[in-house]
Amino acid sequence: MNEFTVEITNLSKTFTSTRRKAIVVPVEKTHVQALKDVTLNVPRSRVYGILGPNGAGKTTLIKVLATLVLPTSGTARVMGYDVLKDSSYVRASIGVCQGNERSIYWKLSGRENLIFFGKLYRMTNSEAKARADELLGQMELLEKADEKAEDLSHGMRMKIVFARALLHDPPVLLLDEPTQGLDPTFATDLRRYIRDELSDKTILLTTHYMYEADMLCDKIALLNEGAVKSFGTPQELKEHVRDYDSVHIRVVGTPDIEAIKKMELVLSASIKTRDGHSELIVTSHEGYELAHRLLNLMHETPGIQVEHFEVKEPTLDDVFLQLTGRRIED
Amino acid sequence: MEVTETKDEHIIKTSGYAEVFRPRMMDWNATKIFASKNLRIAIRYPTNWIIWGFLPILWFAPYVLMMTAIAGPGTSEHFAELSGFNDFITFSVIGWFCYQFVDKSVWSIGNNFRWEQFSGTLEPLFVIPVPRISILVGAAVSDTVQCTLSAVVLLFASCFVFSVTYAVTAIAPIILILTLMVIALYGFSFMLAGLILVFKDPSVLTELVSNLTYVLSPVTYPIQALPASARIAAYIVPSTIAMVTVRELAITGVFEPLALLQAVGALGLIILGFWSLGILAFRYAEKWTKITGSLGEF
Repeated sequence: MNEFTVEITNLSKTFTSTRRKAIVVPVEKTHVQALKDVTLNVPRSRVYGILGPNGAGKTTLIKVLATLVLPTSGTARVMGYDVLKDSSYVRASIGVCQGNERSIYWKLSGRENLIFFGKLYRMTNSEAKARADELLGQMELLEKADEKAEDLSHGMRMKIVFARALLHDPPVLLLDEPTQGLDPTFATDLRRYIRDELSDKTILLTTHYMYEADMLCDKIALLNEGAVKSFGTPQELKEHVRDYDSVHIRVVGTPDIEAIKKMELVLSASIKTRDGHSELIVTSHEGYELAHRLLNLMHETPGIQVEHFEVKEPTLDDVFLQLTGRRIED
Repeated sequence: MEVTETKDEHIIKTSGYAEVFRPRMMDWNATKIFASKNLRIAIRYPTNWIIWGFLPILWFAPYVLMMTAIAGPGTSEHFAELSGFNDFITFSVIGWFCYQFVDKSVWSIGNNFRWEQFSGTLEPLFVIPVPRISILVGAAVSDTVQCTLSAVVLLFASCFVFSVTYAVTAIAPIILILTLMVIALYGFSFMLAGLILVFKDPSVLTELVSNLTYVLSPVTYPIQALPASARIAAYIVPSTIAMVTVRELAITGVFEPLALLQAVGALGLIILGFWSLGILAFRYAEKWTKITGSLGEF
């Protein structure tokens, strides 16, 4: 018996774009390596998270498994089926939810959308209707079932997109940022549903919400620039930074991040600036001592005014920052 | 979840759809479902009724007015000599009727896929284990239904406005020829759908192919008016054979079995050629989009 439901071995994907002169004459080729030797095996009925910032390769990985993108090298198997050789069987085994509310027909109602896709999964009309109503009920959308998708809220449409992935009761779910852009109530509903109702499914979940990964995932792969930087349970990953503190400082103005990175005690530092305000996250073995020094530095720097500071326990974002020098939300 | 092993030690099987699933070469039910979905959505855009009901007659009317201005009402001696028909309005209505199918069939699948791409629904469709050919044909069938509606409106409106009449003695052969023409055009459409998947913006291609097929199809002129070399190219466009045959059947009402068999045979060969090329081209285009990762991109 095969131990793993999803098996990814040394998977790489390089996208090549060609700049052409007069439409046909190639003058320059650019290569972007979206996945680099990714190996990941997901056992049955487990939720594995792929955590990483935009451009890390999360969606490419999901698309390879969904048979929408061909890998350059390596292998990927779902339920034992190879994504290249047995793509139809792979498609029959997966449900895919991409965080895109436009992926349903807006001129059709939620019920019509689900019945349409259900029938493509070879259900009879009555089976598709019953399954659509069952899922709409679980998503608390029965009252809105006959309203056109264009008249529903973003969150309701996303619930229909999510329900579509479950129509044929697939053993494997590929969830690509399913709660992206959802208001907190809808996002919480979906997370609760994934945790409570889908415990028999093998789920690969991409997200850049750390608390979502923390809440739902048995194990997490931290992906950066196409490569797995670290892998383990949320607790194991946090062990990496157990002895670290994370100093969060919000200021008016833009401090010199390079100077901060060179300070004694600093292990890593990142900055996000928006509308004249900056948020600094700095990690250190001695958070309180570093906070003291940083506050002194800020006070001495002209044009910088400290609004808030806090020393926190490390999060998965800190783990990521520690490993890659980037924040997941970058 | 029940887990069993099969002959291949790698394969895990679970209960439900995934277990009973077997791939099919063609899924006609999926074709029907896809076509119904498209028609349902088309009906929900009220402006489509204008396209089906009025636009064809508006495009056709200026041509008739021009011909009448040049040759006087009905015909000219030279036209009758060249085409073998007495009345150019009766003659050209058939051309426009057939051309409704040409224009729609050629672009139906490509434009449909482009629309799905813009709507964000193409990738979700492509992760369902339905044969692509079923979706391609489904898209084409829905557009054929729409264009049949507009072609019939054009025919009846022309009969009413221009007082043209046709023989109804050979309806079955006419339907057979039109059906074969539409099926042949689907093959052409598969090819163009592939091009649209690759190049995205179909505007230049649309203009080029649309104008070429229009120029080569004897919609508003007799095929004999084309230079001899262009006439060979014209006969590769499936609508040419159809227009010539349907005109004979509908205007003269004379049914010649041998001529019909020849037309059916020629269309059969064109179907074979266009479908083979079309499916190959589409498969290549789909593979290309999977390599470049551009399937769902605008």
